[in-house]
Amino acid sequence: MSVSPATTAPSLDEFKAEAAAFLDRVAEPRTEAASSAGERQLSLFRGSTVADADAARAWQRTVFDAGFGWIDGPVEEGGRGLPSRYVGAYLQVERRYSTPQKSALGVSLGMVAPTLVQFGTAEAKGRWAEALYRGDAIGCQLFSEPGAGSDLAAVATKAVRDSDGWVVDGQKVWTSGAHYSDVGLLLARTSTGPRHRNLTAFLVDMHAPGVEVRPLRQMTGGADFNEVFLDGVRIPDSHRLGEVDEGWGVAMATLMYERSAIGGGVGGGSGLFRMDTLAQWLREIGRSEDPLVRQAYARVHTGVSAAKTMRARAEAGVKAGRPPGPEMSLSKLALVANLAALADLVSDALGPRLVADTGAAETFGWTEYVLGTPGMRLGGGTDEVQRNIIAKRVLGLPVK
Amino acid sequence: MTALVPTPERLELREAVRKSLQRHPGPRGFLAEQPSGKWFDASLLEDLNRQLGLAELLVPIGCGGAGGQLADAAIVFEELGAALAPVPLFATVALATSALVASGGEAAATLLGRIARGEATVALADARCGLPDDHRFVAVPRAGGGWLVSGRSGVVIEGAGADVLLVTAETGDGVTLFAVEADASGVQRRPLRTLDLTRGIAEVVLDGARAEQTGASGGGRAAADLAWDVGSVLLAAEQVGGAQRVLDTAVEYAKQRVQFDQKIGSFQQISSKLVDLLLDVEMARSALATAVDAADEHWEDRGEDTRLALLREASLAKALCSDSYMHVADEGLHVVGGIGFTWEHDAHLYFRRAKSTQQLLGSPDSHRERLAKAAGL
Ligand SMILES: Cc1cc2nc3c(=O)[nH]c(=O)nc-3n(C[C@H](O)[C@H](O)[C@H](O)COP(=O)(O)OP(=O)(O)OC[C@H]3O[C@@H](n4cnc5c(N)ncnc54)[C@H](O)[C@@H]3O)c2cc1C
Repeated sequence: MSVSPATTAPSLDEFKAEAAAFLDRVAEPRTEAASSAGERQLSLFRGSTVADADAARAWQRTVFDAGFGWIDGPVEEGGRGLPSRYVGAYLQVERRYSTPQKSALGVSLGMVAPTLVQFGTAEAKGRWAEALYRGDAIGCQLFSEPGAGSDLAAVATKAVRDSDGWVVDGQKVWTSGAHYSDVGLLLARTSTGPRHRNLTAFLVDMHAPGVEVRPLRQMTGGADFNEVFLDGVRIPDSHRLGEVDEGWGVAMATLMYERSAIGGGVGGGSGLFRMDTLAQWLREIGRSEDPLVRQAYARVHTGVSAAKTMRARAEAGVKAGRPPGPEMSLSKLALVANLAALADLVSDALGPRLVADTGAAETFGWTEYVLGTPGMRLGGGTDEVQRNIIAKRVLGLPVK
Repeated sequence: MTALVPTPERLELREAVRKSLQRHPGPRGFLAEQPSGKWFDASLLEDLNRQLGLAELLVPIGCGGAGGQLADAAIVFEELGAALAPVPLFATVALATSALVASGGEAAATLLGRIARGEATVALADARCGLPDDHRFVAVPRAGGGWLVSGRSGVVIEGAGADVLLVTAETGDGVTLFAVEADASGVQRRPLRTLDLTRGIAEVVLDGARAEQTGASGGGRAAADLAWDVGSVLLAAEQVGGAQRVLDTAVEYAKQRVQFDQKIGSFQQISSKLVDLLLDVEMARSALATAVDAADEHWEDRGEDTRLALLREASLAKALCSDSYMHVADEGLHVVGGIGFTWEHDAHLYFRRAKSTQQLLGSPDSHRERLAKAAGL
């Protein structure tokens, strides 16, 4: 059930008050202790289990039913019909509360749902849109394949027309969250036509016969991503996104949503780059006087601050009517540089306490962070791919 | 400079170590079937010792060892590092043997003999090879002879399985080296969770454990410092071996992997990255060669001048090789792409080793600081 939309939009202040009243009821305010070291999420790729995903679903349902789950969505599809600045306003209020981990929903709400809303048929949206925003369903991204990583246009998974729909055969890889997902955003080859004009996007039911999910253990030790085998999987034509053979455009839109989510989220919004918390941590472990540690801290602080402003400038440009574009690639490169600077700071601060778990609080836990940094350089388009995009689209260089 | 061009004997040694290592499953294979809680491969260790006598390599001939040079040991550790061999040789061969050789005296000679005969593995518990701010042992004479040692050391490399613990402890006459049999009463060891899955680290707590003095009273600091420097050089050798292997793997991959209808090595971002990594490896190898020579010169003459040169070169090499290895491990993983971020590939194990060795035995920053100090700054 969704809250019936207000006939006139509340003012931002009214809206924030409404959000605070809701959160007061369902969550605890974030206390000093809770926001400090002890509870801090140090991992970039926390392997979500099915149980984590269930907890995230339950929370999302509560939020949705109170009218905050799909704030800027069209009313007729289950959204609240408010402008997107209300989304930011809600998040601002929500940060003051201690809420459950939502990383299991990142791909689903950040990439799959907006792509569906932009390209789906009325039937597909009716079937999945509200379900995704309410956490009743979770979506994953079935793009990459063993032979198609950076070169996404090379996907070889085939979708063949069959009376009332399609039959899909192939293999996907590194699918984050496939093990708890209900629906997959699939890119498949539908013709022998030229590159970029031979792919079609679909929503595939992850519980359909012929879908097999095998976990892959990732560097950090968790198993957040998977191989997905598709063997004669049937998809109704109404679950196609966009036109036949025009899936490339759909995929590009998804990647834009992804880059915006990654570049903005700064490590999944885990608060790793909260400078006051970092400074507090350095004092707590007694490393705040070392001149090299201080330098390393200041380097992170500088990079994070400038990257935030750079992103805000890009967003202001979008608001002023410029099309959103390759700035997101710059944001991601800035994020990668900041992640490296933070890894250096952590190493300087901890020394051997980073490499063996001596039991001291807030020390060895950082290994998960350090081990996650290579993944951030690869997922969502590698550093090199981002540079190619910027070289071509921003600098106008003759990149192939 | 002997380490610049390996002698035919050393090339043979390298080949022999390589062959022994190839007969075993490698770190990924070992970790996949490893009995829980055990980080080292006992059958590989046995092979290496039986076929190559690695334990006795640096033990002087007078104590029953092979009397090898550090240039020999450097080749061995390069190969062990290249293969990420999960064997507890670093503590015994690199750290404990050098501390005992530096100590001299009868007790040290006896323990060196046990090492050479493969009767004992030995770990060194010292601040500079462990956790500088979490190492403190105090020794008091025991009625009826010997000593009793109490205290703790937070990080002891390969400490959990060693037969003997060599510890630096405070006495009325200054820091002195003592040997504690690991099965003596009052000895507690706790294997720690580690970033590097192919090398064990333990915490050691002693509560009035019986100990034998090994070396002159007040000579413990100098002995452990020599172990620190020799250990830094041999850890740098491990790093060079590891970095070279990661680079080779990445180059090979760049020649095979096709994206956008081209070998990824044909993209200039990838080819120039790989050239930069080669520069890292060759600079590291060069720093290592000088350090190995400095170590051998001091190993020969025990003089004060050569000691100072060793300090300088060891710190220089440890700083440079640590940073090079970390960079190569990070970028090498990046070149193999998503598969490198999984346990289906070795890349993450090298990354773990690189980060771990970077911080053990002194961070690059601390070694650069030491070099500047040695230069009179
Ligand atoms: C943590 C993580 C989560 C992921 N989650 C998902 C997911 O949910 N769904 C999904 O579909 N995929 C996912 N991926 C896959 C990800 O998108 C790919 O790993 C990435 O696009 C790189 O592809 P690849 O691994 O095949 O590497 P390759 O494309 O083979 O790249 C190998 C190397 O070559 C370089 N290279 C390739 N092309 C060029 C070029 N033109 N110029 C210069 N250099 C080039 C790359 O930068 C890289 O260094 C995830 C990956 C990671 C690491």
